[in-house]
Amino acid sequence: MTTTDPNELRNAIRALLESKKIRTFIGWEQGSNAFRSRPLFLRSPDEVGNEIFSPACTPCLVRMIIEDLRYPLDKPDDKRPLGIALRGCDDKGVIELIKDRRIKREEVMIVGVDCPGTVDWTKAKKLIKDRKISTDDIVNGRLIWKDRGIAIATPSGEISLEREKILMSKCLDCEGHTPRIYDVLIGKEDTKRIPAEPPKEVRELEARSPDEKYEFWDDVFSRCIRCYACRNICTYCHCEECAVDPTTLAIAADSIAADKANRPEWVGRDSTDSSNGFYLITRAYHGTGRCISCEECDRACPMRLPLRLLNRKVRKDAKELFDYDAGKSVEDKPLLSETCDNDPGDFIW
Amino acid sequence: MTQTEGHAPKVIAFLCNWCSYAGADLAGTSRIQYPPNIRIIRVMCSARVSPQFVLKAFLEGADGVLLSGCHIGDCHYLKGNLSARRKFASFVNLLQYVGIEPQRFQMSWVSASEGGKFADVVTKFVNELSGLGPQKKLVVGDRLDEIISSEVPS
Amino acid sequence: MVMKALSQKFLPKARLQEFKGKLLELGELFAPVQEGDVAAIRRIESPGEIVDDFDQTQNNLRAVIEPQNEVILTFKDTLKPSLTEQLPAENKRIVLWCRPCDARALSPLDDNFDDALLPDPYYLRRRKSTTIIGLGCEKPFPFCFCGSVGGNPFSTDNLDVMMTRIKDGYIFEPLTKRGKDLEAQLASLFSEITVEQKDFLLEIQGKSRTLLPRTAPNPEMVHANLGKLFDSPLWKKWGDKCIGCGICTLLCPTCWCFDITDVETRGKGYRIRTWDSCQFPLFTLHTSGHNPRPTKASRVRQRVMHKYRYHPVNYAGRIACVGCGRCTELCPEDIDLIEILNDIMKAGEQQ
Repeated sequence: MTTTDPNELRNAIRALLESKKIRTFIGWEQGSNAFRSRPLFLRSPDEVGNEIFSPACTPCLVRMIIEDLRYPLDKPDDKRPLGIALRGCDDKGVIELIKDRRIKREEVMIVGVDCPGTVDWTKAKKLIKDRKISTDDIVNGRLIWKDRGIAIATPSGEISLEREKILMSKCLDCEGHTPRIYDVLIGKEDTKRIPAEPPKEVRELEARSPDEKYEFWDDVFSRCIRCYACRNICTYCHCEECAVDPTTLAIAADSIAADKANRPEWVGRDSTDSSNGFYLITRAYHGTGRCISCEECDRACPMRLPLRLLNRKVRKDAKELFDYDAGKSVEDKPLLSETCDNDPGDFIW
Repeated sequence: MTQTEGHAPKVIAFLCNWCSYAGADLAGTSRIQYPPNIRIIRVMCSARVSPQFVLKAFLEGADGVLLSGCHIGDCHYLKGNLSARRKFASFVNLLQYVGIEPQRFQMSWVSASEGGKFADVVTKFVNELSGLGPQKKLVVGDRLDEIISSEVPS
Repeated sequence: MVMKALSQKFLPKARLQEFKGKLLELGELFAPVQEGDVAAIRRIESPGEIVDDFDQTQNNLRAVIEPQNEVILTFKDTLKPSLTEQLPAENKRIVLWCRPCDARALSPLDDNFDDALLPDPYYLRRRKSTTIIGLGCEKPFPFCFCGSVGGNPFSTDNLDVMMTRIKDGYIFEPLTKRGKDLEAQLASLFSEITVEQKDFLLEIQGKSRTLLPRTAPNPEMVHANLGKLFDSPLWKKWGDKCIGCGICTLLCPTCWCFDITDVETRGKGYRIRTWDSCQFPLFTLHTSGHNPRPTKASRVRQRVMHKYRYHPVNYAGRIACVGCGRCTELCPEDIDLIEILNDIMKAGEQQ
């Protein structure tokens, strides 16, 4: 169950918009069916009725802060902060953006919410089939949190859905329902913080032989279509020009030599296994000490590649090698920008 | 110095200008023999090398990659090698996690006066590599060759 | 359009494995394969790879006819330039169990590639050599709206055979001469269709349309409204939500944009044609530095305009959307094409 009352949340957003303290509020609206939602940009108090907070609120809104940096939501001379709704897992993304100096703390007005878990559409599809849920309920039902699980509220009653069979896998390993940084919290603070445990699949993969590991990952790399959705939805991927994406290299006929030298094409546009591997491995590496395991990359992937097994590994290594937690505090220095005399070095001859 | 199974491994070695490259030079002037399989790329500091360089070397057909810099405390730019150590501690794990054999990438600290150590490092590295055969896991072009050969008229 | 079949046969479940094996002997076979939680059309080497229970494949016929990686030229780094043209072989290709919407999508692709002045040899060689066996959708899937754009869960457009899964097996209906030839080559596997099976087929075909979960506004009216909505604020409303990943276009069965680049390594090179997307920021970057579509709003507008306005204007009114629903289902931010079309209708009425 959540301690956040959606009406109280709407009132808080309305108050912020009425006070004109923020330029836009980023929340969620109901999506294409009961199980889905999408980002909602609120600018006036009378639009707030569309704002929802339910188990359908799966997308991580932090990405929209990065989108706003490149494609301004509002006029450039509007210097007011952005309002945003954050759950327990999202605040780490904002902390990382502050650490990377892309935004300042005062540029976001955070409304914290108590999130007990959101749905995974891939799991929902399976459940819809297994439980023979009607089209009418899929389209017109509305999700609610109920006890430790979820239910679809319909005019004819509630359909309960088993927790393990519907929630995002990261939600089953939730580290804490409410954000640690916020300007106003709607609901009760979740004081327990359960440290992230790498999923057993990561440990299981680590135990395999090199050829077995390669068999697993080469299959993943072969299926990748290089849509870059994992990068585009990521809360830490905010580089204007992506080192591993030839489509962002603005080389033109009139580019000067320095531009061309500084933007080598590391990998071509062929979406074959090795090139895709280059992209995925490099992006995972760039997440060392920055990845917060929001698992949006995994969710966004249209080929359902198990990308969470890459980012969880990198996060596990940051913790075990350097005792580093991404998204813990804005006072932390980015992991790869510092060094320590005691850093592991046994692997060096 | 052994090269088994008729395959001569191709090794790309990134050597820092001030220590390791000088050490390699010293091995040469001292006429110390070591396997000729390495192709050296001189960088000003081991910190210049990012994991992308290593991946790119593999993609272009390298069987093994070496990265060598100054000993801790001796970096010409003070902390460059510390940065390399931190970066690669994490990257080495990731590389192995995706199935690249641990013997295919190695870091070392070799000073300008350690011609002998340089030769030992290369010898040991190439020996361990030779048993593995060519690196075929991350190579550009193989899949494109397959696409071409699948279009043979039947 | 649902064309009447040339004949009807029944393939018993017990002969299914043999059927798949025979298809493999007859040509290069492409069929749905299970990959984790989803299915995808892939080249098949053995019958066991094929999955019988699947909804929609993530990819579509483009994987067979306009593949993501096409090598068009190879060259060697020698003193004398050495270029070798690479063309798809004109081998017989068979696609098993293509959904009717994906087959319909070949029509706008044909509009583009089967051009009188500049026919595309890569596309056409594959297109002309491919026999397509469809699989009817007796129960459409959560994002389907084929009925709203001139389609049907049992549409026969561009199919050579329609198969329908029923109790104890499949109904096999050749639709073209190629389909009839295939029936002849597989004749020993089929039994005669019974009256009950024929009736059952008609029943599920009729019912399937009523089971479509979503309806979209009339595409001709959307087309008409789009003519006056180039500067509408609705594009920014949706563009703001977009992250520019391109999934909507990369997995759209009617999209075709491509890029041509060179991959060079170890003294040899490949000129390749790969999928591109109008949703990528630099897709329209000019060498002058000007980008006519610099915002996400302009790129979202482009995608919808191309499907519902520009393509029909250029090609005798054909709407370049088959209602497969992938762009909505696979969009990480749930940008809903039907909602955009609804907004277009609303905005059109206000103008």
